[in-house]
Amino acid sequence: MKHKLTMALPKGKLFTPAKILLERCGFSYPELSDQSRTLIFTDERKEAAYIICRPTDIPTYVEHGAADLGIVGKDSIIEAGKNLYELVDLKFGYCRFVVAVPQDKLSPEGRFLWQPGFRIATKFPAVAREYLHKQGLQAEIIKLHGNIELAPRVGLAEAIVDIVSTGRTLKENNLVPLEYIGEATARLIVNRASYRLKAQRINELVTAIKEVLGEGGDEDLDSFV
Amino acid sequence: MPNKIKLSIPQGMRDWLPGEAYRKRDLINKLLKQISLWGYEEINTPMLEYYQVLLPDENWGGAEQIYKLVERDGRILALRSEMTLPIARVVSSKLPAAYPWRLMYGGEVFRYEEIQTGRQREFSQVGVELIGAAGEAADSEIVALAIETLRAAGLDSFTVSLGHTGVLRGLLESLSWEDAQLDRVRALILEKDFVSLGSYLLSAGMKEKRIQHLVGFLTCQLSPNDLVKEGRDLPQGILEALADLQKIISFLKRYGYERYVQVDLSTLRSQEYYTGMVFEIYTPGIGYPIGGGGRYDQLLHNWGTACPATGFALGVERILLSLPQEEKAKKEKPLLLVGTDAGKVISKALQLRKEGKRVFTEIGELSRWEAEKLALSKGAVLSWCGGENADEA
Repeated sequence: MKHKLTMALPKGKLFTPAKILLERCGFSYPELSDQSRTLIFTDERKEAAYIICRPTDIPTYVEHGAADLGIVGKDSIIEAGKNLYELVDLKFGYCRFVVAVPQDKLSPEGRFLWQPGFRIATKFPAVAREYLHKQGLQAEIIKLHGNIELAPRVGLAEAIVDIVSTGRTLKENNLVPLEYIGEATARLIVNRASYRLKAQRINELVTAIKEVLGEGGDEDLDSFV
Repeated sequence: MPNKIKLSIPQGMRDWLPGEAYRKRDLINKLLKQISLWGYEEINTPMLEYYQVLLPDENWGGAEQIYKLVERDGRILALRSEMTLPIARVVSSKLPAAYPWRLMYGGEVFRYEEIQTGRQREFSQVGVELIGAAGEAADSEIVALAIETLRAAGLDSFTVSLGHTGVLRGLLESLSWEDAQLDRVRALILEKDFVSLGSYLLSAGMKEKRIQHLVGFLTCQLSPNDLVKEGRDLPQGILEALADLQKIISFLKRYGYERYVQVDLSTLRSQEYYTGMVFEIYTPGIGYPIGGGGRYDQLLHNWGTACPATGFALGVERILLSLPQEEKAKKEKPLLLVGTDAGKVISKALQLRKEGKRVFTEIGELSRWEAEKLALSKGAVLSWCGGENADEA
């Protein structure tokens, strides 16, 4: 199947809107699920295959050409720093990068004083490093894989860099946002070889996605996040 | 227990074991043989260069990918990270100005980069430089030669994606913006982040319709037959680049190779020295280009020679990965000559080697079973020479 399109889809909150978006673009495959034990689905009729994997791994699958294209949050793309084509902003899954610190570490005027030796816990070391560099700050970066909000509570770090959509998790952990340092939404990324070798199929999909999003489907899709 | 360091090799290096080493050498030979048919002459340069040769301009990217060492006198050395720069140095300093020079090479280069399939930190390149020739005849010769060389290696399913650095240059020139803004646009296009490019152009005040036209133009495959028409309404610099590509393509048609070529203006090479057409070659199953090249008319200025030039490099390991398996193993079996009489065995072996046969010997009392086992393990044909089990080879 020379023209088969392999797509990498993220487990978790972006999965359902990604699946629905593809359905609306004519890639309907009801069996597709991020809960099943199957991680690869093949739709012979549409000459398409779907790989279900962790969001942070999607740029890797696509860069190496294991998948021709992928749907993944900009946050994962930034952090991965891979050589990829980023073609469409899918608009759903909006979130922001935030620097947050414990409420009780703020001065009475509500300011946070950076001190030498401070540590930042984050899933996004590249983003955190970029922030520190721009601010001219120095801090140790501690890479974690999840539940970043826990780190300040247990004395692992003085601040965190994380993504937030509503900010509820921060509040529940007595953290306050210090600064928002970027935004992210889901993107369509494409392998650079596939982009050339399967140009026609990829362009058809891109056009279909743009049409669906143009109909105002984007807000609608966000309700599935 | 043996020391672990004593048995390991540095990250990104690899050993080529019997069989695979042969296939690599065989491929390199095939590629070079094909290239030499076009009148290209081989050139060799040292593995170690002064760092400044490999990074003549401090503003160029890629500094962190270069393996560096310190010479005894304190100067910085580097393992060559590519071949074009060393060859430009040689042409500028050691060769008479008898242009054009058609040069070819095959050798290892080193880059400190993330390890990928078919790309370790030491890898082999076969390539050519056509130095002292401007214009579409030279550019199309380079593209056609790359195509023919890959075909000679046994690869047929691949696509040459053709772009032009003039497109990006023309776009930036047409925007009367500040340098910082232009740098941002350039960076986004090089990163191929067309989403952020669109929103950045919008925030910088460009009209939405124009952005769509522009981004669409950069991200679509264009019909190679009427490029200039496809680019109407775009800045003059871009139109000139398209006209240049059009001429190259009309030459490629005369070679009969246009079916391998597609025009894709998002094709940009990471090396800063390219000034004109650039291309990358892709094949199904490999997520990265297996080769690429382009025109670099300003590079030799660095060594005081003003001279147009164009060339390409192919990634040997990546081509090996993309070749069908049966292409890889075409090698006649060697002969294992066994016997007890050293004089007989050696003279027989010498005679067979003179006839061009590959022969290795085992002198001593071998049982039939031992000899057969040895031959099998080496993939050899067993032959007896004297001794009790003599078959008379």
